Amino acid sequence: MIEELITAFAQMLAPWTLFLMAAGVLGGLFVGAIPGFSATMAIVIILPLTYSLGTYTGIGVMIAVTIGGLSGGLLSAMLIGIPGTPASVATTFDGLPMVRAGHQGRALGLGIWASCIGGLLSGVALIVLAPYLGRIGLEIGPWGYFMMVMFALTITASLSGDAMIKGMLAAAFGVLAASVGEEQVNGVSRLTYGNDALLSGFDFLPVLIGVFAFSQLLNDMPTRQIARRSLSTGQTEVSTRIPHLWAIKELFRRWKTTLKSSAIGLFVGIIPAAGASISNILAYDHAKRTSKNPEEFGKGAVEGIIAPEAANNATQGGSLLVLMALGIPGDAVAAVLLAALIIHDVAPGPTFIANHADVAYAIFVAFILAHLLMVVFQVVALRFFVRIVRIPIYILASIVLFYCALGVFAVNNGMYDVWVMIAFGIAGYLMSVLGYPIAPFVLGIVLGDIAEVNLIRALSVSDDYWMFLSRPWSLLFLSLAIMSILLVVLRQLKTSPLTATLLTAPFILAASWALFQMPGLVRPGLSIVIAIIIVVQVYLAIRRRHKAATTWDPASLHTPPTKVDKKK
Amino acid sequence: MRRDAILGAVTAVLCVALFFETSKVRNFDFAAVGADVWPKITIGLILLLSVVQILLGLRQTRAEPQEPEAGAGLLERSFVPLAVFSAVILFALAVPYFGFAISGVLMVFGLLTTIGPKTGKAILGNAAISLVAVLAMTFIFTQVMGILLPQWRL
Repeated sequence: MIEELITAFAQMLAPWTLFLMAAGVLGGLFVGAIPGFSATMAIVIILPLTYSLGTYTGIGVMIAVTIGGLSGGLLSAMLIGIPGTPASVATTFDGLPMVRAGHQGRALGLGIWASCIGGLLSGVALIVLAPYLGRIGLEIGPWGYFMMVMFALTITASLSGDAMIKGMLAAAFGVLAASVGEEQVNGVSRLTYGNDALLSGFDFLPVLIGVFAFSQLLNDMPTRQIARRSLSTGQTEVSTRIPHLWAIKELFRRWKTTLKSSAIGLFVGIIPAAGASISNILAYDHAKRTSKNPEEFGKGAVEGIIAPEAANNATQGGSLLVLMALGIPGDAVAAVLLAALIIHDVAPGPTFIANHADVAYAIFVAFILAHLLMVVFQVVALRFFVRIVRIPIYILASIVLFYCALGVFAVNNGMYDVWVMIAFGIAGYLMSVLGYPIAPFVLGIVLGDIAEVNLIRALSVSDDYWMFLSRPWSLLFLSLAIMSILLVVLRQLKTSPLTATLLTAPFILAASWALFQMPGLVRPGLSIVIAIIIVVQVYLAIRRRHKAATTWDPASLHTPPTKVDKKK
Repeated sequence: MRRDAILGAVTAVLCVALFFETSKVRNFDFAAVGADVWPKITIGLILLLSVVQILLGLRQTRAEPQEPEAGAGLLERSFVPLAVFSAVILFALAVPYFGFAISGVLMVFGLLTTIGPKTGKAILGNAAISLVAVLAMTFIFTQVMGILLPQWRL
């Protein structure tokens, strides 16, 4: 591993690669800093510029753009109170009050260094854990992979909350769109309606660009009046001086918050579909609950800036970990990054780290270097940001649309992809207007082929459908997939705690049984702990219900509370 | 909501059309799993979900009385999306005749002028912005990255 790491550092520290990575971070920061232009957009806009680069340089730049795009969100979150990306929502809670109190440099310094440290910690975790996760990937088999994709899709849909059915429909339509054209295994054409152009199916980059770019840009400028406005409120005088030493000292003084927030971010990143938009809120909430001064939160608390920023960058490490080791993109950013990696001849999967250790470690090193470069270039991005937020939205949007068309054309040097982008742009816009979430649709497109190929592999090995229940990983993901839907349904039906516990217990026990069958000691041990917890939980729920029933006073039915009672 | 029930019904009809298309798939005899199986499973799932959506939509319609949709502002709300989609479709149609760069300049200029202010100064500014933004990026793609873009052909 050490040898591969040294080689990777040598590759990434080559002057030309480092220069382009710096440009990538800067470009990502510029795009990510503009409210409404997410990290996904940053990759989409900058990806075409990397087509002609070699593998190492190309992936280095793409990772740099991703980190820049994610980190850029903190500038707009703090300075104008509009999060540049959903990953920076919680940063506004304390960042903006600190800026409004006149401590712009301090707020930005904390945000930048918390992002850097969170990212570096998750980068180290990436290097240490990825080989182990890669080994686990080999255990999963086609049954487990198929069910893992199902779990990724159901959990993404379930995160749509009340719109879960629409989320599931969007995911299913994404899967169906991925099956248009020639089938992957035997090359049989389907769903083309006799149109030969559709035989090649839809390349996922034009689809992603179409769906994201159009829905996002049109949501940013719903009417001409709004489109002509700039993003700047004009209320904040921005100073570009940042007290770096002070920020680092504050981070070390609050090392527990930094570490815990990074761990939350990393863990959330590993779970499919739960991206940085969730981790920053979770970390903020945890920091507030465990703080000695929770009343300071929302008024410019130092920990209120550290927690979300450390978590959102650490999430990307977790997401990259699953993407590299299992080939499964956890969220939309990872899905676009996967498309970018494939363009640069990098196809992540369980055997990828073992077979292409040089490329894998180059990606890990690029991830770490990008965080260091991000600190250097945030100041430059800040100066750019102050100017760019004065430009009206419609000017930015018009230019970005042309760049998108240009980038999509360059994928296969053909107008077909531009038409695909437009068609999916219309679909994406209609989806957002009609309340269908975009993320499940995109994951459906990216994961549809993986699901089908693994289903065919599984059924080619054995036509015994029971294997989907008897194989441990398959059973685990099936249980989790059912749980992800069931929990939303139970919440919507407002069932009693006892009913919820009794209905979910069988699936938790099934997941626990799956873990028990896995090799080693840790996973079977964990399964026993889970089983004990669930049995205790069921017992306590029954006892609570029993207690409530025995203490119920039927007389209360006949004596409704009076006004006097209420006062008491 | 009534809209959800209608959307569910439209989705169900779409499923029937898609299912009919999958029945035309010709499978090889040696294939362990036919090429139509996966789309059929997916369409079946979509159909099931659309039925749930219809039922939920109808239930909510009964529970909450429908408020009439606000008619005012509909034209204004659909103006920008219509302008954007018309511009990109016209751009894609124009590329084979005018080439990528000229079509791009026309698209960006058209969008800026349609959505933005229409004073003489603003239109001049739009022309400058579209020329600089499009030609600079086209130059990078063609001259630096060596990507061949469709050229002018009339």
